Amino acid sequence: MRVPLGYKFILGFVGVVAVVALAPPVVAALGYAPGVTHFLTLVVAMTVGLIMGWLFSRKFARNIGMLTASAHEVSQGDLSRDIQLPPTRMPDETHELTAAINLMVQNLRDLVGHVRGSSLKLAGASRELNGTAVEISVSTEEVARAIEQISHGAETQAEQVERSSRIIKETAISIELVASRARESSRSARDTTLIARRGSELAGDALELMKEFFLQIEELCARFEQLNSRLQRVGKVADFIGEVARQTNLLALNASIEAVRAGEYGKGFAVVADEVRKLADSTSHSAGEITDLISSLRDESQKVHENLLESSRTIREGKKNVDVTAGSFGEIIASVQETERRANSIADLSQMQLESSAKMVQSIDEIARVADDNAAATEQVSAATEEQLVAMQDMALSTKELAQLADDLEKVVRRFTLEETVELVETV
Amino acid sequence: MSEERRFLLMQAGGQQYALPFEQVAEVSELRRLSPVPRAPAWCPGATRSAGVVVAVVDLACYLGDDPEQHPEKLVVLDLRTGGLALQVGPVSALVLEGQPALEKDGYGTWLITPDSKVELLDAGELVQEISAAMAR
Repeated sequence: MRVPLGYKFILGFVGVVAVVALAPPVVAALGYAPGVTHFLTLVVAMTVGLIMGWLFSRKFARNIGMLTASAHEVSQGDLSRDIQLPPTRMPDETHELTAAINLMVQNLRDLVGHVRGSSLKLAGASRELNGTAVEISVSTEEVARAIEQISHGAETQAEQVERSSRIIKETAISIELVASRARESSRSARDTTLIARRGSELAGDALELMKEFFLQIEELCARFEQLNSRLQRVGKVADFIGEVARQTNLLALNASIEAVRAGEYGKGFAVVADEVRKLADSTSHSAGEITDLISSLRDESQKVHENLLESSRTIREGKKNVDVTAGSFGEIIASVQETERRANSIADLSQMQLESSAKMVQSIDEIARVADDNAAATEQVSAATEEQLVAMQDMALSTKELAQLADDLEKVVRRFTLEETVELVETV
Repeated sequence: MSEERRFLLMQAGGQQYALPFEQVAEVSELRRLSPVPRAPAWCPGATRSAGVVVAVVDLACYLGDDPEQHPEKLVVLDLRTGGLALQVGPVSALVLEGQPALEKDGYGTWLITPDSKVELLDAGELVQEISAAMAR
């Protein structure tokens, strides 16, 4: 039965009062003098009061002492033991206090155990987080370096794209020049075609003129043949005259001889014979000159004839050459027309290349713009990565501090002694 | 009027020779010759002149030169000096006014003409020498 502590004090006081009230009659019954009786009564009352007070306060003091010792132990961090008060039939507030303190100790034990386990887990998790943060930091550094390289590569790419754009523009200019040259070649080929046609016409005219000239030469050769024939007849006549003169000379010479042999009578005849001989000499000389002249003329006419024949052969060869030239002009016209067609084709293709190069320039410009954007974005990513790296380093530092705090907490919690064995999970 | 002398100039073996007209019977063209047996080399044959057979002598060959390369004429000597004809090259007549200028030396007699100096032959001496040579 629970008896409150106040009741117990009241009951003790009542007992002391009852002893004090009942002691005088008992002492008086002993028959002692009033003084002695009074004294004895006082002594008996005080003794009974002390005994009852000691009886009443002994358990209470013991319980308070045990509670105080337990509180002291708890204050020292010893949570291993519960307070075990002696059993009584009349529990009071100290028992309730003991139960409450035991419950508190139990709760503290659970809390400390939980805190210790949590701190250990927190330390492990913090170290793990710190390791992860360090790894992330390292990875972030690598990512930052990679992004820096990408940024550098993007700048290089942008430069290369700009250079490519410049080269393609220069190529476009070259293509335009090629197209211009091709158009000029086409115009030149057209002019050449006209000139070749004119040359072909002139070659045809020259051919006709050469044919006419060739006929004239043949006619001239025929006339020279006639002239040679007549000159030969004249030469024969001159030879005949020369022969006659020679015979006359011989006759005159013999006549002179006969005249000399005739002596004085033949002197006149000798003179005549001399004159005849001189005339024959002169005739022979003239006939010789005629013969020489005719021979010279014949030689000259023969040379002229040969020259004419040679010229005729040359003209015939020239006619062949002119024929070949006319044919060559035809081939030149065909070739030049083909050249013109190809030049036009080159010009068209160059124009297409020019348009394609213009589109390519636009595409390259677009690529350059995208490359610039990529470079700028890469710069931003690089900056963000740098910030992330700093943040990760801060986080690693924070996790390190958190681990340190967890360790400190665990050390603090270790001050408490637990009855139960707390299962600690180290997560390192 | 001064005296005129007429000479017949003959070319034989590149040399010019002269004969007085009086010692010449005829000048004729070359004709076909009849060969003479055992005749010397300078005697290519014989022919007829005015009905008389005359021996033909290559004058150049006879005088020690090479035979006449282009013989043209036959000069028949006066038949009174002997029946002899000279085979020579071209001939011509030479008329000299007055007494002709002659030179004599160890090689023979030379007729001085306005243009040159030619050896003057004597038909009688020539016939005698040739006859003697043929006799050898």
